[in-house]
Amino acid sequence: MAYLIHKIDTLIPEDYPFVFCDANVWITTLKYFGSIVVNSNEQPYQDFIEAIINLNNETDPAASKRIKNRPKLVLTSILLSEIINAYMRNVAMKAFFGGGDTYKSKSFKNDYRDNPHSDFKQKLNDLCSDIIAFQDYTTYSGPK
Amino acid sequence: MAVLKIIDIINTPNAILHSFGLKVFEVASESISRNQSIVISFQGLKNITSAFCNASIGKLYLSFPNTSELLFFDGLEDNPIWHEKVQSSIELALNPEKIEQQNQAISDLLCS
Repeated sequence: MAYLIHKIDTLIPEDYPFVFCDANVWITTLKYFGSIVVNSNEQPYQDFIEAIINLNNETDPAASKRIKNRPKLVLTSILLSEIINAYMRNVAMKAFFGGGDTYKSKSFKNDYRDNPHSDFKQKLNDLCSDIIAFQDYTTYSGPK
Repeated sequence: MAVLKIIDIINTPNAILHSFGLKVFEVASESISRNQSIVISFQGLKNITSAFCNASIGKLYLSFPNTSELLFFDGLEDNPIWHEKVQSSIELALNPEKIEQQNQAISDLLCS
């Protein structure tokens, strides 16, 4: 079966009414600090999501007429689960334990998720509110 | 004291992108770099994200050591989640090694 998978920096967002991005694109969009330098790995993702948001925000009547699509970012329950799982395990937990061997030796469930002294709940709530902040540009596909 | 309304700078009530945060940073840094106090107003916004706060407020704290004396906020009083996002971006900025660690963790995810 052939899949419609495109290289992100060659894709024109306006050509599609719906776009599905994987969890890593979402995590970069929601959480990247980028204040020291913008890493070349992240820039195409930042540019792509920005183009989608700008298409949706366009209010100039002349420009609006020329827009083929105002793409919505598709969210599914599996994608949401993957965003949360990948971020909490690979970014939030790593930051909490300071990375390195200490992080590698810890159990996600026992030492982070179920640890009342960890920042798990705060980071989870923060991530969920970041996702909800994109509500005007997303569409949910799947069971409610 | 000058009041910078975020919504007037980014022209949308959704302060959600890193690039929107950079626009606010550029405007605010003109005052902060001249030692002028400013208020950044969140009034009228519908949504904000961590990435926005990092690129605007976090970057101000990272770039100008006296930011804490010059920068004030309006519109966060009734929104504890937004307040927490702003505080988190400040905390990150005051600990640049954490920024590097977070950026690296995200980069590793992209390359995995």
